[in-house]
Amino acid sequence: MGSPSISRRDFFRTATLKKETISDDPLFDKYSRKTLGPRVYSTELVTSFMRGAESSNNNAQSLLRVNPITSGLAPYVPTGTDPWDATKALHLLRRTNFGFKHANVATLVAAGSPSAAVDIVMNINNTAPPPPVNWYQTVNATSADAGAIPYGADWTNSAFTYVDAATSDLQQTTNSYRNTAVRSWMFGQALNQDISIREKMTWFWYHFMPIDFEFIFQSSNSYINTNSARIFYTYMKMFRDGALGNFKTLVRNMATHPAMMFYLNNQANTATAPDENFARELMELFTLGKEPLSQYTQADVVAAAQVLTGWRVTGLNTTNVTTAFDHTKHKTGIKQFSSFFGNTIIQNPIPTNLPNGAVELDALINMIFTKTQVISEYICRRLYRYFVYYDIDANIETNVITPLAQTFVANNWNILPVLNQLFKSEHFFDMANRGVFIKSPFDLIIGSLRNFNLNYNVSVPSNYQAQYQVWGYFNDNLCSPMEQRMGTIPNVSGWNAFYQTPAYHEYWINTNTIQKRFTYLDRIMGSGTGNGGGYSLTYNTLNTVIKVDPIAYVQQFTTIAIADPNALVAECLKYLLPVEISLAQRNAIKQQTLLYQQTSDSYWTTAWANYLSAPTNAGYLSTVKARLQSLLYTIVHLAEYQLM
Amino acid sequence: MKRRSFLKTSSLFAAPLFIKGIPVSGSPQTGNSMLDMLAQATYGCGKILVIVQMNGGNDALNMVFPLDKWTQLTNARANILMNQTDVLTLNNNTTTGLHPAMLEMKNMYNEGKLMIVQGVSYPNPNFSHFRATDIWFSASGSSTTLDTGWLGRELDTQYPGFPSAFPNADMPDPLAIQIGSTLPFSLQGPGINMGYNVTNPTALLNVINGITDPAPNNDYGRELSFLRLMKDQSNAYKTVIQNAYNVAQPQAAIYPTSNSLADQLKIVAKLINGGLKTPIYIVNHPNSFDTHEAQVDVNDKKLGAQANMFTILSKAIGAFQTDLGLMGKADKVTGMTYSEFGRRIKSNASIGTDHGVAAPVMFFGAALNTNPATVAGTAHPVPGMIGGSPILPTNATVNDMVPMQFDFRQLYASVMQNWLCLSAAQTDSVLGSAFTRLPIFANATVLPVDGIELLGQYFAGEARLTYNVQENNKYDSFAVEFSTNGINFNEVKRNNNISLNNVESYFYNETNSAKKMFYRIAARETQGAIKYSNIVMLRSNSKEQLISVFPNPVVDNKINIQFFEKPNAPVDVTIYSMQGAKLYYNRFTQVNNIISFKVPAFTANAHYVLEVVYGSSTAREQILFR
Repeated sequence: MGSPSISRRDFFRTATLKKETISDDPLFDKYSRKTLGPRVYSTELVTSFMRGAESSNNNAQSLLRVNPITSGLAPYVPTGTDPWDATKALHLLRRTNFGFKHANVATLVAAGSPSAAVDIVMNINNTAPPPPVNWYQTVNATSADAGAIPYGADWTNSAFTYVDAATSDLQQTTNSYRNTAVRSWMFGQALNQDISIREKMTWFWYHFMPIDFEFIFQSSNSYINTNSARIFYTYMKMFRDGALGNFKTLVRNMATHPAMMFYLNNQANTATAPDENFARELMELFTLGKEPLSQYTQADVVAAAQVLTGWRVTGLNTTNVTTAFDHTKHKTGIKQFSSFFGNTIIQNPIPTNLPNGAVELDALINMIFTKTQVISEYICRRLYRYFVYYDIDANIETNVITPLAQTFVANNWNILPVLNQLFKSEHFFDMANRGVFIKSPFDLIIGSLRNFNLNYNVSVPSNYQAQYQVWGYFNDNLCSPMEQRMGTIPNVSGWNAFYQTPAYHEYWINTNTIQKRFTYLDRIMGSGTGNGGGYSLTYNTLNTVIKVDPIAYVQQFTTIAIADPNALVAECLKYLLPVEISLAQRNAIKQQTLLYQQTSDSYWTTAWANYLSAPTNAGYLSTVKARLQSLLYTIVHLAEYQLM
Repeated sequence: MKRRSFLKTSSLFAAPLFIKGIPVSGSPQTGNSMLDMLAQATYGCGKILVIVQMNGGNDALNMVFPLDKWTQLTNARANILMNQTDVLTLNNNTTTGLHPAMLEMKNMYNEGKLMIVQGVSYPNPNFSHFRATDIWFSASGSSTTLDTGWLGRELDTQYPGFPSAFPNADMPDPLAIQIGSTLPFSLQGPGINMGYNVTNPTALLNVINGITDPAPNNDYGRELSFLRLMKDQSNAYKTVIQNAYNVAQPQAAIYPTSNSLADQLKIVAKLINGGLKTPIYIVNHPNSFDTHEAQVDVNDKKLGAQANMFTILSKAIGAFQTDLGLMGKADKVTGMTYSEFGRRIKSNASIGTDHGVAAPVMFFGAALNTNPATVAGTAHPVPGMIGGSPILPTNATVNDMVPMQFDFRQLYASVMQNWLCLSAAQTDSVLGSAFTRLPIFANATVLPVDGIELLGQYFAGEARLTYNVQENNKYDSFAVEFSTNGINFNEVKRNNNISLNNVESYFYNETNSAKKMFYRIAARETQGAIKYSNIVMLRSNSKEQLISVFPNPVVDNKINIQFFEKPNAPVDVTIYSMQGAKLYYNRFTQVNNIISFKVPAFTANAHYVLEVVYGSSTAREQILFR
């Protein structure tokens, strides 16, 4: 985008205001929640489950209760009838991690209380992970790094400057590989996450203040096509390092980060033609929001744009890339803000010094952050919609959002205390919030890869090409067709599932994407071309098969549970579905899968005992494998598996 | 915005959208000319197999009685054996009788619509339900395991490329449909599960119905309903199934009530009536045949648990067969009932029987080789029975088994080759080796089906149709029906019966320029029933009908090709197997209107594709060798 200042912004406006989308689609018309009513409990099925009891018969219509949700931020204190158990630990893990490992559940249950469990999840290891490396050396004869970075080595401090056209081509090729490296590496970080919230929080920040890799790479800025990957890496590092840090600091750092300078074009903001793009999004999307209390004016946007004139990315072709202030491009004079900001005037120099961009920018940020209620409530709503549910009714506004926002302000814009309070609350663990969240593509893909212990890391770690391409396959070939991809954002507003009224996360689902979701699940369960199904990925001579081993999966449960088909079905369902299903449905699943239409439980018990007695007996093996495969296939094919 | 553009294009779609990332909406071609050719050649096989599973291991000695072994039965199982006089006897079959609960099936046998294949099992039998079921499903031997089901492999052979190339214009319908329950292993193909399961086509919302909890009245329930609906809507086959299901049936049989098997078969019948070209359906008997105890009523041994199951079975199949007759499709559909194994000869003390080995498999339908005149003098001379009454020891011990007479894979091979249009080579390839075929089907080799043979050619802007009618005198008129998609046919011309001749030929030419034209003949019997011919597909474009191959089926390996325009020599003639292998080639340099030549022996009763190329013209015909 060479001259994008006006048209691009308008484009985004029209692109995001797509009311007609909904009326085009009769199905969506009928079933999307056009108006968000008050949220309600609940049925006997759900309440009995909350008591920890076996769900009793769920056709007792007379017992149905429909009540408003009144829980708030008071800490959830387990009781004898509502204990701290695996079901609640799973809820915490699903919402704060991408899926979970079996051992994670045990860790959180062993913590003994929701408070201790949340502390574990919020305890971020502040050591930054090793940066992305040269994975591309081995791709072909001409894919060696133009900066002579060796195979497997960190390239994030290697810059390119212009020498001649031929060299530039090689540099651009390398940079292109490096861009891919960042995307794949990020996917690998999410797959190999620890039990903490860091990865999920990183992607909150990314989608909240996003950049689009391809958009920036294709922009006409000098040196960008040979150096973009390094600033993508540092931009994401800023979020990963500050995942639970100070929001105001993050906004200030984001404002002058080179990647954002290019993405929202503050790079071209100049005294003679102020570019309002970044100024507007800074208020509308990144801090104040556009909810009723946010009463900034168009004049405020113009004034802020003037404050922001003169910043320029420098040294992109050196190891010392930074955003510096060029006073000759700065709009001098006073910038007058509206009554919403108390008629603030930002003026610099005062009166005769050269303009100082940092002073003005700090003044602008400070002024915006005087609107404490507007910002804190807006951010808390965004966090709520990312971690809990989209529908915020009057009760939740009063009992959750308002006090949470006060915590945010009282803690001087630190995020950690806010999330601590939210996740430890009665409201977060309220049955009304369990299983209501449609899994994002990341939740579904990464979560399933992790839950089923699939081979997302290649068997030879030094085969960097194979490793990065496997991770890239997940991001580009699985997530992307489901409309979420690391490093790609539909527009500056982020993924509409997390903000767009009225359907919010239902936007992930259409007849196309849902088919892809089930195709993915079919494949990992063993369907697919080639021997035995699954995804068989061969890169750089190394083959990686992505396919569930159903026997290994159930062997994570106790030996007693595996041998009893009732217990085995219940265990699988507990880990794979967010809310318990009825005994009748459990029995039907058991009979259709583990018992293959027989009625006696002993047939499964015997089959399993036979297998254990001779695990290499092909007949025994195939008997139990086919039935377990059928069990897992049936469970993940339930619509319930798409929820968390 | 991606979503929006997607929905715009998809809101018009007739069948599917994206499968495994490949958009196939509205595209009639697979993009692979060999696939196109094969699909085109197999198109119109038109045969349907309905499998009725009797899970649990049926005690068939208490179902198909060896009347000639009554002493042995009495010695082995007096505590469950009914009076011999209660057994239903069968026409022309002195050794065998049926359980008194199976009145409808007895009648079908006497009408030539039921075939009993005795003593079906496999070498080295396995007594585990699971293992035995897997063996039946995968058609493996007892010592090997296969990851795929035989029907899946069959479908994969017949419809290569599933699912990325399916549904398509030539095969818009599911390749297999299982009613109720989860998808069985037998449908697991090498690529992907080939079935589509449907419980109630009018309410597809809960695809695995019967085991799906209702969504509760809260946010979770609303999201769940939304997801279930979208999952359902995205199913590529939803529209064709619902359309087929909703086609009106002028006359329908009355099915028994409170009979889950009848409910399932009624759905199958409605889908067949609606013109769904799905070749394979699977239904499940609702009860478990695993009768270790209380198999019969001790006070009246012709009653009891197993008798109730046979009542369900017989009444359901009887109604289904009647229904197929009323819709004029009886000879397009064959049913097959089986259980994973039989039970012991000797009963146990709990008024039951334990796991055994061989048992009869029953086929039903109007296309069976049951004509007494035809089977007389053959290896299986009893009409309606293949194999003999089982040989039982005089005093059976607990270890004695009903002996095996036929490997179940012989039955599979016969079904594939003689019913589902696979070639001998394809059949052997699916099963891994050659199994001797059994004479289960009558006229297994005859083209056309149904006694109304429609032939067509496209020439000079006209579809030129010829149809030859057997038993011509039983019809009063013939409707020529046309379709652009092979699904929705409209009458374009009605010809009245022109003679009382037993065999008559009719002609009809129609000016037409549709890219693809599908024709069929709907013959109306004097009683009002409708009988359909095969469907002929013609093309008006570059692949227009240039040739006619006669006779077809080919007799004595002599092929005649008639040209409808004078070809520019040379003419290249190639014969391909259905798998695309080149089997014969010759170049003819002197050509007038007809070329006649002899080819080496081909496998009898197998389909091949004959291709003629001259100048820039190519024409293909499916041929069959006698």
